[in-house]
Amino acid sequence: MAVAADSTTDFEGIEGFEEFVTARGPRLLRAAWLLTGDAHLAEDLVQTVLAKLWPKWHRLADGNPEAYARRALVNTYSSWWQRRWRGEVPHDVLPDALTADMFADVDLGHALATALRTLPPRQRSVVVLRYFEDLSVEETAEALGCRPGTVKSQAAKALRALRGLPTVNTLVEGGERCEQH
Amino acid sequence: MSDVNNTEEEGERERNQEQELRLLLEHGIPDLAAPKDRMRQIRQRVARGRRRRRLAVLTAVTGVVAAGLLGTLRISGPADAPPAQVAAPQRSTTTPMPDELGLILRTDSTWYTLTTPDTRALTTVFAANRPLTDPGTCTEATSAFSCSPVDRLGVDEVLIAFRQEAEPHKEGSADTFVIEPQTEPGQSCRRIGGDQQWIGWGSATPRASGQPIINAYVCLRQASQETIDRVGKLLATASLDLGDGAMDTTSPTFAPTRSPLD
Repeated sequence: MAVAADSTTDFEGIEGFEEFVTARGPRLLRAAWLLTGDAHLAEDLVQTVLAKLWPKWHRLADGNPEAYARRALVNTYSSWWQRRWRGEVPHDVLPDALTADMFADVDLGHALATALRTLPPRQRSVVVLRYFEDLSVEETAEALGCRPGTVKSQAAKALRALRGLPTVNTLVEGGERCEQH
Repeated sequence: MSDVNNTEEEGERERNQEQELRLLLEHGIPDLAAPKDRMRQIRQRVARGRRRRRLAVLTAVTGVVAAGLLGTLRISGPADAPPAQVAAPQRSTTTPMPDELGLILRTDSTWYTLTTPDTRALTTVFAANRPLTDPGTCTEATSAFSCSPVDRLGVDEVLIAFRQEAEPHKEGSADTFVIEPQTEPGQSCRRIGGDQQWIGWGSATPRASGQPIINAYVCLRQASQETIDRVGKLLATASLDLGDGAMDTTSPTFAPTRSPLD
């Protein structure tokens, strides 16, 4: 029943990787949550990305592993969506049917995830890179492998779409309240 | 002049909207905690990925050799001989599962396996002693056989669904897999012609290690003793790859709590 064992020594000598995971893991996890809207899937996504990063660490460590991780995050998410989430279950109640009163009692995170879920995956990736990771248009384009013009148009569409949801207006007010505290 | 003002106002509005969105994204994310053994889990993923690639290379090499042999046979055979039938690719003696499951099945050459995604973003692996038809992404993964790769089971045919689920079918036996005959088949099993159903459940040891819970649903129709024995053997030799580079040979395995014939 036993199969040939992988040598665990392969994993030694990757100086700095664990520190990178400790330092950047929380931010990556937050970005992954914005993409997936689910804590378990977000952790799964982050681990998948870090597992891709590990074998290349000796080459990436001196460069920009963070940029690589971000790129891998959105690309892996995109491939997951194509492979596994194509049949995403539509919601009985669309987010824009929710009212401000309802949101008084609803978790802000859940409402944000619901709002982001209305965006196509590509726009969601643009929103996360551009407005959460705070990348420039050019950096976002590089991470997504597209032209800056595409990023601009996708960002504008996403903003318009989100702006059209009463949910988001309520959330923005909630966010401002958070900021004041 | 007014056009310039409008453009400026629009730009200002857009910048405000972007700023609001930044604020929203920053504050809307719930508290997320990384698992304590994240590094270990990453290590396991790397190990599984390497094994999978190795297996893919081995499979490709085997395919090339088989194709070469087939070509040789064709060349040396009679000119009017019919072309040889190529076995279905799913047929295998050992079927490593996707890394999400890490489940290793040992089926004989008469069995077929199929991995299917569903809208839970989870995986179901089917195994059967008959050919399977890919049902595509399951949009109604409400029960084990709701998206069955079999329209109707024939006599002495069996379909097993290994499903990644949040909870084991029953609590209290998380350290090992157990299998239990049901008093009657479930609705989705009956729909494909099944007249007998077993359910197995379990997870890797210890459950807290973050390994998946896998429930196994077995649907049988007029199963012979030979088929029942074969299914029992398949379940008894199923094991979870714990991913540390070696198979866990001690547990878990599917272990029938009592004979399915009881």
